[in-house]
Amino acid sequence: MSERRVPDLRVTDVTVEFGGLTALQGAHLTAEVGERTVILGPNGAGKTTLFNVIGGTIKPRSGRIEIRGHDVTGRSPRVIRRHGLARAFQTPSVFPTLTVRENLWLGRLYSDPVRWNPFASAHREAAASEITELAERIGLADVLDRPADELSHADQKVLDIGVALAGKPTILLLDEPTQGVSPEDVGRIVSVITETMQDMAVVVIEHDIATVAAIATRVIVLDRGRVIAEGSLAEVSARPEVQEVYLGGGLAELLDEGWDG
Amino acid sequence: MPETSTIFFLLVDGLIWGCIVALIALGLSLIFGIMNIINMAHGDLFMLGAVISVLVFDRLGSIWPALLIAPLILGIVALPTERYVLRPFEQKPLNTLIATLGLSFIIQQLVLMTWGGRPRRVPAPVEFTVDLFGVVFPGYRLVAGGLGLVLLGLLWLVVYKTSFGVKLRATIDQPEVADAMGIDTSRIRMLTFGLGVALAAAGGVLAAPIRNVFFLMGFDVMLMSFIVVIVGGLGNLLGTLVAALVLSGTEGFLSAFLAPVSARIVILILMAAVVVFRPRGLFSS
Amino acid sequence: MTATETRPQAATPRTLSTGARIGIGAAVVAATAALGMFGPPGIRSLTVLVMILSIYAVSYGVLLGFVDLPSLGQSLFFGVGAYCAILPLTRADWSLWAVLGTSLVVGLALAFVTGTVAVRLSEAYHVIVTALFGAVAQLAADNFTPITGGEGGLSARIPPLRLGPWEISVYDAVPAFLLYLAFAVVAFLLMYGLVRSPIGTVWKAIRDNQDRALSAGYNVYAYKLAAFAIVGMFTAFSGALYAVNLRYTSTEFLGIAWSVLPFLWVLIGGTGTLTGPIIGVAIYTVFQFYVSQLWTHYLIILGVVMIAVLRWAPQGIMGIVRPGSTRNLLARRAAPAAEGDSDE
Repeated sequence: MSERRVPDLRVTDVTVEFGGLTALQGAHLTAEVGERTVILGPNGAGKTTLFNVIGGTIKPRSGRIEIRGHDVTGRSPRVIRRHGLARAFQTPSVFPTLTVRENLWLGRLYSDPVRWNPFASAHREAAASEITELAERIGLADVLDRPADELSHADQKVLDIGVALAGKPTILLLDEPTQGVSPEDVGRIVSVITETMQDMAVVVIEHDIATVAAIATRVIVLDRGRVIAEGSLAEVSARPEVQEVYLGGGLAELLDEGWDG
Repeated sequence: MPETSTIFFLLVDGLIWGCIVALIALGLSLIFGIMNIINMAHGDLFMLGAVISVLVFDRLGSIWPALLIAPLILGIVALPTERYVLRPFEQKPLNTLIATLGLSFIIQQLVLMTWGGRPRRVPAPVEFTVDLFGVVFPGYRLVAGGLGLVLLGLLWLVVYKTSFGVKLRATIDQPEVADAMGIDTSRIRMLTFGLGVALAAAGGVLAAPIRNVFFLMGFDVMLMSFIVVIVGGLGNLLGTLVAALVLSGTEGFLSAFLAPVSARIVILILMAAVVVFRPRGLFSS
Repeated sequence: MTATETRPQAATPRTLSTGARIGIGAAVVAATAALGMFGPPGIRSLTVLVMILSIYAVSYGVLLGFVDLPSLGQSLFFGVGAYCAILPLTRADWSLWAVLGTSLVVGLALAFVTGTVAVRLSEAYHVIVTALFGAVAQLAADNFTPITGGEGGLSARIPPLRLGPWEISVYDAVPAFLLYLAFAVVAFLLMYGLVRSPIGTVWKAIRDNQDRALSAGYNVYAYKLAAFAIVGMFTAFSGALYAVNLRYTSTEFLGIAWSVLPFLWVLIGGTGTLTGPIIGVAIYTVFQFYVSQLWTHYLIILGVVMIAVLRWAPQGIMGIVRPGSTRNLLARRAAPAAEGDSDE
C-alpha cells in the first residue's frame, strides 16, 4: 500500500503508564479528512487516555503523534490546537457563565485571521453571521443568548462540539458525544456529525453500537490498552476477540437489526 | 570579608533557627495536607506559645513547664476549633486563607489589648557556653536546637511508626480511599490540626529566650515558613523539613555578608526560582 | 434540525440595556459631583477617599472576579505607586503629571515582572507567593529608611496640575475633588471597556474553564500575565492618588492590611461585577472611618467582618441584590478540576 499523502493524523505505538498500570500499549491510529473513525472498547480500555495523549493533556511514555507529518508528541493542547486539532469532551466542557454566542465566538476566534481587530465592523458582522449560522446548523439558534450553564445536558454536549467546530479544525476528536443524551437527541447529534464534518478528519469515542453504525467509516477496537481490531464495523464485529470483549455478541445482533437514522 | 568564625557562627545559628522554623512549617504543611487549609494564623500560634512561656516564667520562675503547657493548652483548644469553627471552610483554600487571616488579626489585637505591645525577653533557662571549633555558642541556642530536633524526631515517630501516623499519611495521600477503607478521616483531621498547632506552640516556647516576645513576632516566622513550604512543597513533610534547614542555614550564612533583609530577599529569589522551575516544590515527585 | 427536548422559557434578563447603564452611570457621576461641590467638607473628603480607592477596588475586582487570580500582594503596587508620587517630589521638581505617569509605568513594569512568577501558580500557591512579595517588599522598604522614611514616611508639597492654560491645585478642595472624580471615572471606563472587549471575554473563559481555554488554543499564561500587569498599573495609580491626597506616603502602604482590604471590598460588594467593588469600598471606608474614631483596635473588627462575610455572605451585596450576577469563586472546592472523563 503506497501512501499518496501524509495522513492528517497518525498515532504510532503509543504507550502510557500510570504508576505501575499500563493504560495504553502500542496504540496506533490514522485518520484522514473525510473519514469518521470510531474507537470502541469497554470501560478502562484506554480510549480517553488515547485522546488525552493526542490532545496533549498527557505525555506518553513512548510513541509518536503526528499531524500532517509534524511531530506533536507531548506538546501542549494549545500548540496542538495550532496544528488544527480540536477536541470535545465526555463531560461537556464549556464556559458556564458565558452565553452560547460567546462560547462559540471563543471557539471561532482561533480561526480568525483578524483576531486582534475588534473594531473592524465588517469583521464583526462576518463573525456574528458565521456564529449564527453555526448555531443553526447544530440546533442551538434559539438559545444563543443564554448562559451555557442554563442549558440542558444535550445542549451542552452539542455546544461543546460547536465550540470545537467553530474554529474550523482539520481534525476533530469527540469523546462520547451521545453519552447521557436522551434517545431523541442522539439523532440530532448524529446528524451534526454526519452533516457538518465532511471536510474534517473525525475520531469519535462511542459506546452505543447503533450510533457507531450510523457514523463510522472505520472502527478501531481497544481492549485493555491495546488495539485488538480495526477495519469496517462489519469486519470488526465478525472477529471473535471483539465479540468476546462485548459479551454476548451484542454487536452482531444490533447489526442484524439495522439502524434507522 | 568577615571572619570565618563569624560565618560559622551565623551558619550554625541559622541551622538552629531552622529547626524551630521546621516545627512551624511542618505544622503548616500538615494542616494543609490534611485539610487543604492555609492557616494564616499559624504564626500567631507560635506567638501565643512564646507569650504563654513568658507567663509561665513569670508565675513559676522557669520556662520548661511551658514546653508542656503551651502545646497542650493550644492543642486542646484547637480540637473543638477545628470541629466547629473551621469545618465549614475546609477544602476551600481561598476562603480559609482569608478567614484565618481575619483570625490572625483578632488574635494579635487581643494580645495587644490584654498583654500590651511592649516586647518582653525571657532569660535563657540555662547559662553556659559551648566552644565549637573555636567559636563560642550560647548554650541555650544549642539546647533549643537540640530540643527542636528531639521534637522533630518525635514527630517522625508519630507519623511513620504509629497507627495514627499511617492513617494520617493515608488521609493526606488519598482521602477518598482512606475514607472508603474505614478510616475515621474526620477524627484524623481534627487530631492532625491539634498536632500542627501544638508544634507551632512548642516552637514558640523554644524561641522565647531567643527572640523578643511581642504580639507581632509571628510575622517573621510565618514569612520564613511560607517560603519553606513553597520550596519544600505544601503537604510534603520531608521536603518541608529539608527546606527549613537548608533555607534557614543559607540565610544565616548570607547574613555574614549581607544585611538581614538582603539575605531574606536572596532567599525569596531562590524561592521564586524554585517556583518557576519546579512549581510543586523542590522535592515533589 | 430541531431539538426534541423542550427548552425552558428564557431566563429573566440578566443585564441592563446599554442605555440604562449609561443613564445610571451618568446620574451617579453627576450626583457625586454635586456632593463634592455643595456638600459638607467632611463628606467631601470621605468621598474623595472612596473615589481614589475605588480605582484600586475595581482593578482588584477584575483580577479576582474576571480573571480569577486571587492575589494577596497588591499592596506592593499600591505602596510603590504611592512612593512614585511622593519620592520624586521630595527630591526634585517634578510635575504632578510626571509623578502620576511614573506610577503607571512603574506599576505596569513591576506587576509584569512579579507576574511572570506569580501567574504560573495555582490558587493557593499564587496567594502565598503574592503575599510573600508584598511582605518582603515592606521589609526591604523598612530597611532603607533614609530613602523611604520607614513607617514614619515621607511628606511632600504637591505641585498643581497643569491642564493647558489652567492649573488645578490639590489644595483647593472642590477642583481637587473634581479632578479625582475625573480620574476615577476614566479609570473605571477603561477597565469596563477592557472587560467587555475580546480580551475580557477570554479572561472570563479562563476563569470559567481554564483547561478548555487551553484546548481552544489560547495562551492562558499570557492572558493572565497581561491582566496582572494591567491591574498592577491601575493599583499603582490608585496608590499614587492616595498619597497625593494625603501629601504623604509610608511603608505602611506596602503592608498586608492593604492587600487584604481590596479582597474585603470585592467580597462585600460581590465578585464578578465592576460595580460591586465600588459598593464594597464605599461601605467599608465609611464604616471604618466612623469606627476607628471610637476604637483604635479596629483590626479586630476587620477580622470579624472577614470571617463573618466569608461564612455567611460570600456572594456579596451584589449577589444578594441581583442573585446570579456575581460569581461565587470562593465557594469552589479545592479538588483539582477533574476533566470529568473516566480513565478509559
